[in-house]
Amino acid sequence: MQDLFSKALSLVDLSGYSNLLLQGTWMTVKLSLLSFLLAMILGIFTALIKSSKNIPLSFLATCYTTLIRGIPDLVLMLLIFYGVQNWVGELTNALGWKFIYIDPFSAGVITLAFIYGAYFSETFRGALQAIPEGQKEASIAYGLSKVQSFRYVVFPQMMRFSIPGLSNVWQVIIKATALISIIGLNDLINAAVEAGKSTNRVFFFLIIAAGIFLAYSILSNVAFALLKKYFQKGVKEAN
Amino acid sequence: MKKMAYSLLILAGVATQTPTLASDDTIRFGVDATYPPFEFKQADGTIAGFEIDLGNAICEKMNKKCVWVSTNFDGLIPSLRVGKIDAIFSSLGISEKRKKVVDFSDRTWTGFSSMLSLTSKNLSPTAESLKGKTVGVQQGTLQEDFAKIKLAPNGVRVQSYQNQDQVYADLLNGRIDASMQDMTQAQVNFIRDGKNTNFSNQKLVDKLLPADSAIAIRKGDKVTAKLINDGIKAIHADDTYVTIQRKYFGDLDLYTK
Amino acid sequence: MLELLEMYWKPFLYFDGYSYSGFVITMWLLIFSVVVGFLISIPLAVARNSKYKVLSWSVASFTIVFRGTPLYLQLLICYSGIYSLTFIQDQTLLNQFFRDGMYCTLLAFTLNTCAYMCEMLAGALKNVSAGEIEAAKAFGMNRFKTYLYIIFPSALKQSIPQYSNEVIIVLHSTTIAFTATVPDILKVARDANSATYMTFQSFGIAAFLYLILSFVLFYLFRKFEQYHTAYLPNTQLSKGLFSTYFSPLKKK
Repeated sequence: MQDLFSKALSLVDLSGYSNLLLQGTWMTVKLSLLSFLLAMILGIFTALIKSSKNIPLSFLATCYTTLIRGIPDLVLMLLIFYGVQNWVGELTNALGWKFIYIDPFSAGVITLAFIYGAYFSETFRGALQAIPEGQKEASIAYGLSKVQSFRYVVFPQMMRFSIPGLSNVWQVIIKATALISIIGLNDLINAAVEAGKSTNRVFFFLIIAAGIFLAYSILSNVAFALLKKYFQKGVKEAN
Repeated sequence: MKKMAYSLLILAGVATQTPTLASDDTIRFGVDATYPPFEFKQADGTIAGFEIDLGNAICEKMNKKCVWVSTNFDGLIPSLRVGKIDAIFSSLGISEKRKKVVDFSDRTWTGFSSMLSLTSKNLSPTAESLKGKTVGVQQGTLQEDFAKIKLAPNGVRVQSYQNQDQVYADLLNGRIDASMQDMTQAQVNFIRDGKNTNFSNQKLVDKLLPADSAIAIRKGDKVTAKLINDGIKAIHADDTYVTIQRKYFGDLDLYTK
Repeated sequence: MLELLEMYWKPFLYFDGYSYSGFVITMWLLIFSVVVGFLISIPLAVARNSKYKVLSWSVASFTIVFRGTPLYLQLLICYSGIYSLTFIQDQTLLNQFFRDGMYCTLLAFTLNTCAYMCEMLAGALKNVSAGEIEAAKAFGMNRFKTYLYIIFPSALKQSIPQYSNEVIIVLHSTTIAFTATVPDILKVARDANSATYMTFQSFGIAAFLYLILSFVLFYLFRKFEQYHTAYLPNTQLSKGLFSTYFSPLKKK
């Protein structure tokens, strides 16, 4: 897979920067995948909390999702990278622990997971509500525990309903990873800018980066279409 | 619920790339690697430069390991204060404003500030000459403070950039009329290596622009301060400093006053 | 904290010494890109649904490119990339245009919003019920009149929630304007941080300003939607439903 990619890159004259670009692309891919997974976990969590009967927790969850909608991604990222790092530093100093570093990659993953967890919670909440109530009742009638019923009955159906929402959020996450280059991560955009500056062909390398993002986006669309087909086994579609 | 929270924390920890805990045998130096030849990033991503070599020599003399952490220039002092790094070795000038928040080691090198502009524009580094023009500076530098305090109130437009190569990029394509930075850096990197002979590098002297640079250390951190000062004395005692200086600057002397 | 506010309340809100900055600039970026993007997206959306494949595919390729790449990258291309080309610098008009950071930013934001709005509007136009269009034909309206009186009002009313999403997204994206040296709220926050080293406070003020702006916009859009869909039965567009519509995700 990597050779295919390098072969494709070598078609264009990259004057030796193909390695840097590859590393940058891999960093972007890693970042998006990890944030997506963490955001999904956080989202399922928050969706369950919101639809539970616990009022103070559910209020907290609502505060969380409302706050995220109001604060821009980049501001939150800078707050976490500079602000929380300082706060964590003061905390560890006060407690006498050794310092915990938050490098740009971690700050990016934490921020993106935090932000998109809120969006996922909306998707999953809608998906949870779309599952017929009878399914949950039937699983209890069969004697499945709460965890078992979630794992075998609720979760697969919830995934089916939430695939369009998931694919939307994934597309947004791919583009949000570009913001992390502003706090200094060596991702694709920074690699392209470096390469462009050194060879004086800034426009060319930026177009290459745009092309890679486009390919990434189109491939993800294909992957999600396949995923949708998998989760729709045994279900007849209207169209 | 608790398990989820802990596993999330662990995941976040696993996701971090660099070693997460400080050790007593290393000195973490913070640097903004966009200032060749003092510090810069090579094509394979590693940091190199005059101050990097000096720092590594100091660590060697003191039998400690050096770790170089790359950050944005205006993030260096906050990172130092909070303990993310132990020292800053990034062409930091010894200014009054900085002395209030950090301690400085002994002087490492001396260099004046300067203004770069196209010779054909006939600009000189005074507020009258630059009135109505745009001057570019890097955010967090002494030159930015100088420009904002002395030039901006007199009708000069001051534009701050995140790092020095963005300043140079806009200087070259004409978005800014002049830029202010360290004189040696401008001469060696911009004019000599960049072959921009149609630019003039004019010295800038002012109370707000001290010429001495040193290593910044957390306020009150006497241990690291003594370590670094001893290291600096050691590399001057033998030929290390002069050798490294010759490697980057040839016959230029940055230390003797 | 108090000294920070005292020193920087003016730059944050409207003026930082020699140019407009902060809140005013953010609002200008937002309003310009949304309004101009919307106006340009109307003919593009009609073209997107046209029966001539060439027209529809050229608009589709425009939207695919601008929706598939990050806005930050588009801004970089407009600001650093295009200006580095020699043939741009030789032409006086283009040179003047791309030299200014503000124009580059407005261009990138407008094109990006336009692409998203075009897709939204094209989808909504397609979803107008066929019965209404046939009735319009029966009444003798020509194509243009049908569009003006029947199709557009219906499509626009349907997509108000999506438009409100898009406007809030553009607001959040104006934060990257500082990389093109446009002095918006975040740039002032960075300057404040760089001068006083009070990170949490400077960025906190910026976050607070954006929070207020987002809520005001959200509230205004909700009132707007309630006014325009007041004739619909209560079950269709209740408060709860709007909140599930309003998730700032780019719907496809």
